[in-house]
Amino acid sequence: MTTVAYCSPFVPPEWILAHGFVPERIVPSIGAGPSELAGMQGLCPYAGAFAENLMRRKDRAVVAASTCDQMRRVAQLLQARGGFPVFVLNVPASWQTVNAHRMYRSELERLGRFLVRLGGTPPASAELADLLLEHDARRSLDAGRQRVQAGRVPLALLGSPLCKEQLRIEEIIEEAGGTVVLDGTDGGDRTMPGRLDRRAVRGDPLSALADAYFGALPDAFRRPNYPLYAWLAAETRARGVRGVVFAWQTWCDVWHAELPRLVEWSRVPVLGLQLAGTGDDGARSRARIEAFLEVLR
Amino acid sequence: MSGRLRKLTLSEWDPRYQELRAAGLVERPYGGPLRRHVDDGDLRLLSLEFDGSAAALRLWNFLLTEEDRLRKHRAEGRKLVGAMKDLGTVPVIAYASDALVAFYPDGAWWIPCVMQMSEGLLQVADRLGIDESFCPVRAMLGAFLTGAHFPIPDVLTCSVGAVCDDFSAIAQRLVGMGHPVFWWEMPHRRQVEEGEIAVPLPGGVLAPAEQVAFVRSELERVREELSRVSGSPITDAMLARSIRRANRFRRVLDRLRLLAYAAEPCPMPSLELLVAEMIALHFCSDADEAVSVVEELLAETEARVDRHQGVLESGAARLFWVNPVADMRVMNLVEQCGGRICGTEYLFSHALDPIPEDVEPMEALARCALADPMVGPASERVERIVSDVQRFGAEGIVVSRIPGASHCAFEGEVLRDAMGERAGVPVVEVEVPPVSDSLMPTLRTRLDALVETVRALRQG
Repeated sequence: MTTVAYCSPFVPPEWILAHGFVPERIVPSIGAGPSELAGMQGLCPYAGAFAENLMRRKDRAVVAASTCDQMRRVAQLLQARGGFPVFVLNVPASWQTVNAHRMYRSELERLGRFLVRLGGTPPASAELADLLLEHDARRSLDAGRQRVQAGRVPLALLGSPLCKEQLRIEEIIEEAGGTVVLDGTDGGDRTMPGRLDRRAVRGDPLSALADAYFGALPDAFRRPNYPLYAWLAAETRARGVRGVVFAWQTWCDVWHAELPRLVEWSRVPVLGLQLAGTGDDGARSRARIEAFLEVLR
Repeated sequence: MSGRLRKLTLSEWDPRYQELRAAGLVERPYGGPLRRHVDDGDLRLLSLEFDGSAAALRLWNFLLTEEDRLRKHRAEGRKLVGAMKDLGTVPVIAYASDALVAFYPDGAWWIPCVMQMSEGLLQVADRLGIDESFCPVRAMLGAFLTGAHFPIPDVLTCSVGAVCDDFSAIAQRLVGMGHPVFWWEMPHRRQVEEGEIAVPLPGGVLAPAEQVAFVRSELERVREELSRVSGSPITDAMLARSIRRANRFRRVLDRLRLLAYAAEPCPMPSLELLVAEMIALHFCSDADEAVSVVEELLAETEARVDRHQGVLESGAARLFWVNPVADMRVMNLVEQCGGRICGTEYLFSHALDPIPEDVEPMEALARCALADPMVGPASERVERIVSDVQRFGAEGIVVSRIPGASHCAFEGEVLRDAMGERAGVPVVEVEVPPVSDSLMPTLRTRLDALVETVRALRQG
């Protein structure tokens, strides 16, 4: 087994790579065939699709994160029925205390032990530092790329993590005359780790890695979660965002609860889209996105 | 004297109250006829059937006068601690200080039921964007906004992490409404791994020592905060005394549960037991009185067991109830369908198990908090339930889904499958909203089916 799958932005792929495995970020696909979870009620479309995708191809180890009810329970389900190694990374919701930071770092150490049990090799400090700096440099290059707006209405896309089919929302926005200049979903701008402190990396690379992720990523589940709004305020201003498309998965209370707050808080209009995970979420959303952009144009 | 004791409707309680008074009933200051609570808006009482004892009267009066008690505490200069989500641990820290009184604003989830939706709390939550896709605890938002159901606490604590997302989201909304929250972390309880030290938790599960130490350090922060609010340090000696008192309550309640759930015929209705179990969470804002209230209920139950007296016909189907019900009336319905409650797991078994007294107080409280069934794997919850099913001799299990709660949306199904297999008894799943009148026919059908199955299985 050489691949370790994950989906949470709080799982650092560099840490997996440093142990000699290939990190694979899963963007799950909805209903791509018969499923062991078919007919299960009350399952978040994303969490369900994540589990289904992993169960279809059982040659990977999995790192899940404890950041929501549904992922915690899906991870238990995978541990019980998956037939492959599953690790649950405890990501604290609180972040303002030394305790929380220590816990996250200690969880990375535990993840390291899990990877070693799978046959991985713990990285030497200098090697890890080199790897982290290399990734950091690559990320900063990516962050420098500007999106082309071409007279379109600049929008932010925010909310729950999206399945592959639901990413079509971005295409629909483009087709309707808008463009996503700020991606606040998992895998987008919001989940870019913070810049590494070069001196700190050489001294204690694991702590520097923990700080770059746990100390930097704004998310709805964090308590308190005002850094999400601070990030949003800064980025929407910097990128000239004129509207926010907010999408949440059914059963995703963490993000859903932010919608009314965002509507109260935002200086630009907000469009809420509930995603059912039936595969036609994009199509069902088209009319609303078109109307939203018509108003903004 | 044996025979069946009749449960009473509220109308029947009026003459019963007069009868008890005439017989010399001496009440506590919060005593009085149950009818007055209806006049205060607790309309659901009109639809319930109650136990007819003086002990039950005291229990109900104690429960339904908590708001008055909280206001009196504040008037007397005590600080009010709104403990949220941890269910059973922070109040033990708070009650260590005479200057503090703790309660769970979470308890507002019962208000729409008790007031039969007349109070409009869920509509307030709707207006705040927290709609029916969230669990009924969203009523708490309305209670904070109106300030009409409990005084706004001087300090709010909330455990976050592996707790339910609905609650965490709603608590975050409270912050946005101007109520600061002291967050403390509750990690997802995991299995002990190779090379780690295992610590036994109340209830029988094991946790890694590292996680216990982490929770202890988080509770130390809570202790510091509550010491600050109270104006003086909460010492280990004060905590030890508070733990002993909590354990006294838990021991009495344990004995009460054992009799009420195991004795034949059923000596005390499930509705009164539900209330007694709920009081374990924060002692209804008076820890000493709470002990006395359940002691009287236990004495009444013991006397009935001695007399072979019950509130139901012998032979009722023995059912184990999983998850709390938002509508108390469903407890009556179970008995009307020919069942009786023989064991419960209302998601706070860690508030019922004795707190260890042979370790340092903060260590004991950390172990207790980490034993929360919600923060651990479903498989451990199943093991606990199966063990209690056997302890109380239950013949069937009801998994009661909480509407809108993301944690039990599909966990119910997982529990149902695993428990049916492990416990070897039939399982049915139901969903109970705060006022379930419109669903009564469906609920009755499902409970009837379970009762009939249990009876059929008895006959082989």
